[in-house]
Amino acid sequence: MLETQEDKWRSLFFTGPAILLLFVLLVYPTLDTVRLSFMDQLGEQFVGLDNYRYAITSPRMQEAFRNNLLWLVIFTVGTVGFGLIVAVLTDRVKYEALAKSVIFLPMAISFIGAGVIWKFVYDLKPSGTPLQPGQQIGLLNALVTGATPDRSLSDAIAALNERGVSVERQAVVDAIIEVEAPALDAAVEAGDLTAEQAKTLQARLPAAASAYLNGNLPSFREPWQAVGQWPRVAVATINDAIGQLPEGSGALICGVVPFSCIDAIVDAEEDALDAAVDEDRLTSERAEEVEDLLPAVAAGFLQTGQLPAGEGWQTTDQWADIVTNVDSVSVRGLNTTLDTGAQPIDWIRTPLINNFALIIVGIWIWTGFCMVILSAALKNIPAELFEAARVDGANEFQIFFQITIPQLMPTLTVVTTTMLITVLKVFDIVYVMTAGNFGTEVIANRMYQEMYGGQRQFGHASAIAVILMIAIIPVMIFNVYQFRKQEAQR
Amino acid sequence: MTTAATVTPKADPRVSGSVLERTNWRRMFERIPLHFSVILLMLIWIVPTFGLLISSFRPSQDITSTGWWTVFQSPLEFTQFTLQNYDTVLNNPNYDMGGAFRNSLIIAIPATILPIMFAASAAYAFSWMKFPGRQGLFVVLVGLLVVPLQMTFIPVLRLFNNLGVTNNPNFPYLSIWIAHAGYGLPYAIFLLRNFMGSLPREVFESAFLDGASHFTAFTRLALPLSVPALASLAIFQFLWVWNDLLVALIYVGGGRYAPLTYALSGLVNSLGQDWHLLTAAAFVSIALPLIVFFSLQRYFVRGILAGSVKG
Repeated sequence: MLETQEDKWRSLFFTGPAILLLFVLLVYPTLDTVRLSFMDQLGEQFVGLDNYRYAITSPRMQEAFRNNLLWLVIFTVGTVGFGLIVAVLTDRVKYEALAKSVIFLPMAISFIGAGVIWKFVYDLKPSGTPLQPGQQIGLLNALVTGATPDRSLSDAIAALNERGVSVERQAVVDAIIEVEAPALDAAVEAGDLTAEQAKTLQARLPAAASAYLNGNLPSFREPWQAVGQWPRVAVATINDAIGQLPEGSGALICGVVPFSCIDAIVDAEEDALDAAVDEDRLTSERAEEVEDLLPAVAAGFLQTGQLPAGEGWQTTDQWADIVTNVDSVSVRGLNTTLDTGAQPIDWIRTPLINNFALIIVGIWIWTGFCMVILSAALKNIPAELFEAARVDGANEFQIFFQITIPQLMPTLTVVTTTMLITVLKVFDIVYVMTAGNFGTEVIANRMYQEMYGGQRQFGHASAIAVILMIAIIPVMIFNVYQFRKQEAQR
Repeated sequence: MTTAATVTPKADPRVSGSVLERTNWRRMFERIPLHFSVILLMLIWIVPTFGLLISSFRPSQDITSTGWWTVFQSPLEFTQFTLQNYDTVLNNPNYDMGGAFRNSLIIAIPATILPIMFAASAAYAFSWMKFPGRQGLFVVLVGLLVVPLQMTFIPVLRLFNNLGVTNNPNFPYLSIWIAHAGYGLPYAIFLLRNFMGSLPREVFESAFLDGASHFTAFTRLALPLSVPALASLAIFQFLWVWNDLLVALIYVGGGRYAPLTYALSGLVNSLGQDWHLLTAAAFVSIALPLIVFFSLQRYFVRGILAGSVKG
C-alpha cells in the first residue's frame, strides 16, 4: 500500500459521494427507524415499548412469525438442497451448460413475473359454479384431476335421472333459449346484428344449448350475447327439478347438487358439538339428538335462509360463509355423486397448502443461485480426491457424503447464510400471489401493510422492521466474521 | 486391469469413446437414472415459464377454456395463436405496458450507472489508498450488505418529502434513482473492491513511481483493468433494478411513472382471471431480462460468484 500524507484528503474525493449516499440512505435511516419504533403512529410522541408489544402479540404478526419460520426451514433446505443436487448431477452430463441455464433462468425474472407464472400454474377452475365446464387450465390442477374435463351438466342430469330425480334435458335447453332469444332481439335493435343473422343464430340456438350441456360454451362470444347467464339458468332449472329451491339461496351457489353444502355445514357443526360436549355445555345424549337433526336443519337453511335458534356453542353465524366458500367442496359433492375421482385443489387459498405453494415459487427462483455457486466450488475440488476414492471402491453415495459434502462445506455455509438473509426478507412473492391473505402473512409484507395499507402506522412498521433486522443480525455478524477471516488470509 | 477399465469411464465420461467400447452399453444403461433426473428437473424448471409464453399468444376464449398444452394437439395450426393480447397490453391506455416499459428503462439505466460510478471510485480508494478508518469503514459496509431495506423506508421517505425529492414534477424519477443508487452501493463497492484489490500491485507501484496521480491511476489503470467486473456488476444491478418491486412501490409516486413490475402487480390485482392480458403483460416485463440473461449469462454468473463471501 502506498502511503502519503495527502491520501487522507484525496481519499475523501474518491469515497465521499459513496459514503454520503450510504449514510443518507442506509446508516441514518436505520438508526432513525430504531428511534421511530419507540414513537407513536406519526413519530411525535414517545410510547415506550407499545409498538413492540403490538408487533409481538398481534394475531397477524404471530401468523407472520410462524410462516417466516416455515419459510426459513423449507426454503433454505429446498434451495440449498436442490442447488447441490443439480450442481452434482449436471456435473456428470454433457449438456451441463444447457441444464444449468434452465435452472438458473428464473433468477433473471422478477418476483412479480414469477408470481404470475405460478399463479397460472396453480390456477383453479371451481366447477361447482361452472361458468364454463371444461378443463382445468392450471397445470397442477390438470395433473391432479387427470386433465379430464369436468363432468358436464349432461352427466349431472343423467346421474340424477338414474337416482330417480326426473330432470328433463329439454327443459334446460328451453331455459337457455329463453335468456338468449331476447338478447338476440336486443342486438338487432341495437344494430349489432341484421335481422337475417339473428334468424340464423336463432335457428342454431337449440343445438348450441345442447352442446353447452355436453360441456362446450359456444365460441362465438359477442358482447350482446347472454352466454354468461347460461350456467346460472341451467343450474337453476336443474335445481328446480330437484326440489323447489329459491334462486339466490345457497343451493344455487352449490351448483347442481346441494348435498355438498349440507355436508359442509354438518361438518362444521359437528366439530362445534364435540367442543360443546368437551366443555360440558351439552350432555352427550343431547348432542346425539342434535346431530341427527343437523342435515335437515342445514337443508332448511339452504332453501329458506333461516337459521335455527342460537344456543351459544353453535357455528350458525358462519353458515352463510361456509356456503359461499363451498365452491371447491361442492365440486367434491358433485364429483362423489357422479363418482369422477380426484377434485382440483385450491393451492392459493387452502391454508398451509398455500404456504408450501408460495415457498415452492421461492425455491424455483433461488435454486439457480445456489447451484451456480456450489457448481463453481465443485469444480475446484481436486479430481484426484474422487479418483482415489473410486479406486478404493467407494460407491457414488459414499463419495457424495464423504468427499463432496465435506469439501463443499465452506461454500455450503456461505450459500446457506445468503439464503437465510433472503428468506427472512421475503416479500414480493407473498405480496403478488396472496397479499398475505389466507394465512400466508410474512413479516416483510406486514411491515409494508402497516406502512402503506390503510392507516400509516409508522410506529408499528418501524418496530416490525427492527424485529426483522434483529433476526438478521446473527447472520450479519457471522458474515463480518467470515469476511475478517478471509481478509486475514489475504 | 479390469477394475480400472470399468471404473475409469465413470471418473471421466469424455474418454469413453476410446478403448472401452464394450462397457459403453452397460455404462449408458447405468446412467439412465442420472439423465432421467436431470431432464426431469429441467422440465420442472422450464415448463411454468413455457406455459406462460404459449398462453400469452392464445385468444382469451381459448386460454380460459382449455389448458395451454392442448395447442400441441395441432402444433402447426398457427391460426390458434394471436398477437392481440400483446397489442392490447402495450397500446391500450388502460394497461399501457408500453409506457411502463419506457419508465423501467428510464429508471434502470441511471440507477445502474450512478451506483457503479460512485462504487468504482470508492472501491479504488479502499484498495489503493491509505486513510484512517479504512478497515472500519469496510467492515461497516459488509454489515450494510444485509440490512433489510425495510429499515430505511420511513426515514428516507420523510427526508425526501422534506427536501421535495419525491413527487417532484420536474424530476419524477429522482427519488427512485437516488434510492437505487444508495441501495446498490454496498454490494457494488464490495464486489469491485474485491476485484480491484486483487489487481497486480506492481502495475500501480510503477505508475506511481512514474509520477501518476491517483486520479490517473484510477481512470487509466484501475477502470480499464476492471472492465470484466464492471460488466458483471452492471448486468447484476440492471436486472436487480428492472425486477425490483418493493423500492418502486415505496418511491414511485403514481401510475404515470410506474415501472413494469409496479404496473404488472396492479394488473394482477385488478384483472384477476384475465389470463390473456396477464400472461402477455408478464411476458413483456420479463422479455428484456431474458434477452440480457441469454446473451450475457457469463457475466451475470461471474457477478454472483464474485459477490459471495468465500469461507
